[in-house]
Amino acid sequence: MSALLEVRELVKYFPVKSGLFGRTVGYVKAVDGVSFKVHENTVFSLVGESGSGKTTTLKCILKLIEPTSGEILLEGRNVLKLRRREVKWFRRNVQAVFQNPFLSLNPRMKVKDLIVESIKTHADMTDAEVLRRVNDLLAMVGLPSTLANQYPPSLSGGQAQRVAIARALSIEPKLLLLDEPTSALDVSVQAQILNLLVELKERLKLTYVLVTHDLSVVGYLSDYVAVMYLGRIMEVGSIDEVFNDPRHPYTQALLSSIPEPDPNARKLRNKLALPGEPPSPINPPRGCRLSSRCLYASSDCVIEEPDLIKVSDSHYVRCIRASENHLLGASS
Amino acid sequence: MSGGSLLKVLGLTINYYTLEGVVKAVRNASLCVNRGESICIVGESGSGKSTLGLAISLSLPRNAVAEGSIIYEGVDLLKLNPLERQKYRGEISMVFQDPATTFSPLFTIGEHLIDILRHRFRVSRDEAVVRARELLRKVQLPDQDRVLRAYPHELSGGMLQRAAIAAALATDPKVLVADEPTTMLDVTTQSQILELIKVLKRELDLTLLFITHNLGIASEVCNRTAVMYAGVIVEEGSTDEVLLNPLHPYTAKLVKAVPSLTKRRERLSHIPGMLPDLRNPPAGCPFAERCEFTTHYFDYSPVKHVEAGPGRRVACILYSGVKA
Repeated sequence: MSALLEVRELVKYFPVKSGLFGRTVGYVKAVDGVSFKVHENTVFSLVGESGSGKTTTLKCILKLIEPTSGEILLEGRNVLKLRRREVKWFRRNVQAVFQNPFLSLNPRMKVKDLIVESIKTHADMTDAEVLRRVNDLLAMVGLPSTLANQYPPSLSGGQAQRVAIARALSIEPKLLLLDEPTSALDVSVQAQILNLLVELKERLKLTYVLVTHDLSVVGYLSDYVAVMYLGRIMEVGSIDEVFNDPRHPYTQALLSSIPEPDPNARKLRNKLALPGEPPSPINPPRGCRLSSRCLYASSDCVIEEPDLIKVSDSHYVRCIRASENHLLGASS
Repeated sequence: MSGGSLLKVLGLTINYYTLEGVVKAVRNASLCVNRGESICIVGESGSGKSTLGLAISLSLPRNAVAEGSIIYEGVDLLKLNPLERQKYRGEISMVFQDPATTFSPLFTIGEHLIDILRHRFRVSRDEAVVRARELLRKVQLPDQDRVLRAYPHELSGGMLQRAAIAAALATDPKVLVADEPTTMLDVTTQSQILELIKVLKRELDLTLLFITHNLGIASEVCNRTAVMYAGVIVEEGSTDEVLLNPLHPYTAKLVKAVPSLTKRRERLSHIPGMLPDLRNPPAGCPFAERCEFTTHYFDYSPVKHVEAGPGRRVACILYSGVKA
């Protein structure tokens, strides 16, 4: 199975400027050597807290910002070295849905026109065909066709997010990037959108890259997950292995920090606190990046940053104690 | 730990007068809070949970009109004159969602705390500084002198929320109303703050009113939970009972709509439809339009609360035949 999307050693540094002449005094190492592969018709999630570099990674994949170094391959072609005609091919195949639909949909355009614009940019269709397509798309995301003539501000959050999804899917992309797609929504609406995303993925054989801080959403949607901390992937693997048998202390802390609604499950779980706050990405700690907060850190941890260590064919961990950490898991 | 009711909300109705009409944010809400307990108010946006919290902490905006009564230690808080109200404002403190807007960006954390302390206790500046430092220690902020001198933007979200909790505790309150205090924070910080609130509640013998949309947080923090929908308290009971055995159809749907790590692949139940327009809410059950058990929607008269077991109330016609 070849990968639809492959990210190789992606690095993005943002310069920190200071003083009268804007001299560069340092770099925010937002993404610092991230590599992963996403296979067709799977969901790959990047999860982490603010400042972990997950959104920067997504922006690089979307070609919204230029990475400092590294390669991003879509179907084997390096998307960072595309010519203008090829960029259109790329856009056709890679679309995105963002967190706040009221910011990503132009408030002065009707729902219909928002979708039409995207179709007309990429496909050669007659007006009648386009309109039929708009109606099909609205039906596909579960919206009544009467909504086509409304403006985004008159929609509810859930409806607006559905419009954003319809627009993203209007040109039949292969890869859909989801940036916190349900973080702005209430739980009951979140459930609607999550169910819709699962259904669309099966029906249209889509591939998703999901970026979110919400681990329960990750658990619901994903096949593979990468846990990021300070610009690095700390643990990556299939969702079952990472969530049932987390090996990295950071993953364990993250999983045990999620408030558990089910009282029975809650009582079974042991909490694992992560003290302190993430250090500055301008000057990350020496050695393992978690060493300043890790409960199990030893002197070995600050000498050298560990590589990703293989636990199984579909599970890798960046921790020198990967093989012994499994006792503390948040699994149940 | 508990000792009878401390706070009683009776038939509370709150309307906001806005340019778009009168928004009926809370309708006929009744709630009894016992001394020393922690009670959660759970609901989605527009459920009226924050408005209820603002009313209890006497912080409603001017365009809000409250009817009914909020009895705190035998005194109806809604009938106080502005001077008396000052006193009770300190007894019932509030922590808000966004710590960045809790503080004025123009003043240091120290200035905020010292102002509150001097106003409340009429102490000297030096005495206030000592107490402020003690407060910051209580919320487990290291390096208190640096924090006192810091402006809000110089602290991280988690530290700032700790400082906001310190400010809320400065008046020595009996009741702490926390309105989504961890929603803006990362999960690991969130779990630190929740732990802190639990510790403070125990140490200072606080009564906690916790407002959240997150059922997981309700489950971890509070022993009792009230669920609100469209301005109405639809269900109330011990948190474990409400989550394990929800009675109201809305609660039942809500519990199943939350993705859980323990039941990962189960399909989520979602609630079709939308929240009713609160300017003109339905006379009957607010959830009737979206409820799978609705029969004769238009005939409904206002729903009554039914006692459904000890400490358990539900506002649903399905239970009108159930004996207490």
